[in-house]
Amino acid sequence: MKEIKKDLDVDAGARDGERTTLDEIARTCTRDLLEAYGVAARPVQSAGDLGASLGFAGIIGFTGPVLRGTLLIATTNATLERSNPAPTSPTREWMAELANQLLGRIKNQLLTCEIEIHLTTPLVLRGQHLSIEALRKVSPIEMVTDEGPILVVLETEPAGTLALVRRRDIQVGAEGDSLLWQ
Amino acid sequence: LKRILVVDDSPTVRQQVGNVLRLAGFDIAEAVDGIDGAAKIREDQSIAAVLCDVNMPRLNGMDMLEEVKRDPKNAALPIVMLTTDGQPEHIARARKFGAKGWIIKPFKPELLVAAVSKLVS
Repeated sequence: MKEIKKDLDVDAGARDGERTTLDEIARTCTRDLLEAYGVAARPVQSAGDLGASLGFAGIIGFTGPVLRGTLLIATTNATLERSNPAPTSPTREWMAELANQLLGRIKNQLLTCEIEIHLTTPLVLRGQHLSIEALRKVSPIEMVTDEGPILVVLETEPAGTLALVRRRDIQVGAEGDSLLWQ
Repeated sequence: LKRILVVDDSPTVRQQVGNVLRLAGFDIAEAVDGIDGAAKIREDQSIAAVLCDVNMPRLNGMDMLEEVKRDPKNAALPIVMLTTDGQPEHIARARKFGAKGWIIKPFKPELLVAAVSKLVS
């Protein structure tokens, strides 16, 4: 696959401040998720020629009363193999689960802003020299690991004007939490 | 060996959970979604506890939990939800329907083993 192109102006309702917050949430969640699987991901201004090594992309949609959209995470085969917690499980399956867990983390962060989303099931693309084109108002988040680049796109379509205000009184379960009841 | 049913549409998660629990001395059965999970619970009386994902195709984990717990025979069967979801309303709903716990992915292997050991002891 040579290119993935989108021409929709899907982010028309997200103001610059909210877009920055969404990107920061996506960047932090990506970093923390990969760290939980033993891979350090660092942000970069430009990961260079991404298409040279991106081999897998996980795509997962979400819906909700005030926000809907799609998350894409693309990376290299080597990064997936390094982070895969079940090494004999197919890489495509781990790509799907990684996209699912990334959006799950983002969902938990959005909940602290009183924004509820519901996840769909993920789709995986595999190819050579994948090129992810930036939307007009959504620039890809670029990061690198020792195994190559990672690219994340959080495409959002708010219903009206989006307001992202974190509420400290909203307690959301954190990754790794284990609750047991009698 | 105590048999633990792992219900998750991700083969990676099923394998990861299975590897951790087998090392801790458990026997593992697997189901790929809520329909498969409910069927395995009906058919296999040796299942001692269930770890169940929430977001799955066909029948999600919350609906599977509700369906399984509707049968009085499963009243004592411990079911723990294993998911990325940290939404308080969903956690409360699972508890109301009879779940014994809620673990948020990525899980810590030692906590998973401790939780399952406690449930089946």
